Amino acid sequence: MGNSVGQLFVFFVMAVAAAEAAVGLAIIIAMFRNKLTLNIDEINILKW
Amino acid sequence: MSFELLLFLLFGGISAVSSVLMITRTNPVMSALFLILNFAGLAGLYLLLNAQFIAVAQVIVYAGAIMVLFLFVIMLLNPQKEKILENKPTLKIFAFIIAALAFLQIGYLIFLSHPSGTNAGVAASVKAGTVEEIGRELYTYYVLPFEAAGYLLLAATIGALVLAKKKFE
Repeated sequence: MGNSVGQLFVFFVMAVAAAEAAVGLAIIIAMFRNKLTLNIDEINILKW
Repeated sequence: MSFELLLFLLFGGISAVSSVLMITRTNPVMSALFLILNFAGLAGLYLLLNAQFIAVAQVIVYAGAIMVLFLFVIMLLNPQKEKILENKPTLKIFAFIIAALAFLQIGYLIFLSHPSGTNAGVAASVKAGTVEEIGRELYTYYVLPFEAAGYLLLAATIGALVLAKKKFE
C-alpha cells in the first residue's frame, strides 16, 4: 500500500480520454460538413 | 470542523453545482465554461487526496487542452439554430428510474458497505502522489504502456486531422 500505481493508471486513462475527445470532435465536424446540422435526431445515416 | 473538511465541502460544492449548471444551460458555450469550473473543482479534490501530479494533469489536460478543443468546435460550428430537445414524458420517467438506481447504488456504497483496504498513512500517501515518485515508477516499470500511450495520442492526432480535413485528394 501507499504506492503510486493507481495514480499512474489515472494518467493513462487521461491520455486515452484525450485521444477519444479529439477523434470524437473530429467526427462531429465531419458530420456537420455532410449534414449541416448537429441535431442528433437528423443524423440517422447509420440506420438501415 | 477542520480546515480539510471545509476545503472538501468547498471543492465538492463547486463540482456538484457547476455540473448541474452545465447540463441545464441552453447556451453550449456556457455549458463548456461550467465544465471548466467543474474540472477546477475536481483538481482541488485531487489535491485534498494528496495527488498533486493528478491535480496538475487534470488542470493541464482537461481544463486546458480538451476544453480548448471543445470551445473551438462549439464556436466553429456555432449551433445557434438547433432546436432544444422537446419534453417527452416517457424519457423523463426512464431518466428518473436510472437516476434513482444510481443514487441507491452510491448511497449503499457510502453508508452500508464495509471498506476492506488498509490505511497507508498520510506520509506514505503524500510521497506516492509527488511528481518524482510517479515519474520514477512510470519510467522504471511502465515504460511500455507509456510509449503505447504516446503512439495512441499520435494516432488520434493524425486520425482527427484526416477526419476533419475538407476533402481527400
